[in-house]
Amino acid sequence: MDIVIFVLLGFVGGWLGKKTRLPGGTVVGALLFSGLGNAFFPPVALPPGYLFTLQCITGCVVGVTITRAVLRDLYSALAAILCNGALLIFGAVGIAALVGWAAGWDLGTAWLSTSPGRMPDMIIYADAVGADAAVIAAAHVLRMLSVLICTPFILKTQSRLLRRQSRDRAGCEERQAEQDKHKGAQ
Amino acid sequence: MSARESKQGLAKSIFCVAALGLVGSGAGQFSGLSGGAMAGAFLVVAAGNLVGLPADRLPRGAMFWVQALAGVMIGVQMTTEKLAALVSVLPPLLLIVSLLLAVGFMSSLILHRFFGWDFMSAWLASSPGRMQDMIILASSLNARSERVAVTHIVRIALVIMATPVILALWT
Repeated sequence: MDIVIFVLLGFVGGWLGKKTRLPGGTVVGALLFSGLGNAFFPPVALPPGYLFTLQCITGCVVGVTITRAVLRDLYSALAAILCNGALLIFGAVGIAALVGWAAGWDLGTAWLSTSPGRMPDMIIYADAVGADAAVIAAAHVLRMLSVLICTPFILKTQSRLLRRQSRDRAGCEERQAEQDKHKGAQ
Repeated sequence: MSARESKQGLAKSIFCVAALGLVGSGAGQFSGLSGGAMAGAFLVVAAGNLVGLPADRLPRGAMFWVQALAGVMIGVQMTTEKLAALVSVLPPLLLIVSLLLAVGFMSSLILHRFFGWDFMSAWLASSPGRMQDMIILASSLNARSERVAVTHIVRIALVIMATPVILALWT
């Protein structure tokens, strides 16, 4: 019966977390509120089938996004999109190997923390392989926040670089034109 | 489409997704791969969608349920000792985040230089951020939001398919 209280607490926390509009707010809110339950109620075990049900629902939620329209868009930029996906996955595998070696993490925790997938999916995988779900959740929250924080700076720096490049190019063309003019006068 | 037809369509889709999801996750579980149930459900629902079955919609709150239940799953196992232990893993976490940002940046440069994408769309598509945030940013910055969305959907799908394989090979 206690598990119902934990789930209810989790849903309240998730709802509040969603209201904050922070990346990962729902998961973190649910985690904190159901974790808070540990302070007031005896520890509970998840019911059998919880993980399987969650895996099934998550697979369905991602599966419904793969439609014919998505495939049509995919065809138009297939090479670029697959190249990007492969680079991110292989990069993450390399980072996982490095972190697993440097910090002594088990490889399940290392991969699920570094993989560029969605946080809920990775947390669900974590439970299936006995990895440290709390570390994985922390890694993904940090990743999502850092992208949001870095994006304006990256875009600003890039547009400044592009502006400088175009200014340099315009300067070069101007100088070239002046030289041509001098040559013509001589 | 009238509201009634839309409701009927949604009910049909939920039924179809549930049936396909159960078949897929059952097969995935049977395969013995770690997380095979998730990858199986994903593959069968996506395949059903592509062959024309009405399996392309779920209620708006479905993602909230997944996220809340995933949060509960960690929450019930959370103890003060575990919370304290999180502080000690901060340096590896910061290393992971900075390296992932570097890989995302490199990938965006490749999309920009070799595939001719504008840099803004390239970064928003290849940054390891949350899909919803990146699509919202793309729309507000007049980047190619459809490309950003498809790239993130493919990334998520690739990770879901690759994870059981990577875990099986690695652990």
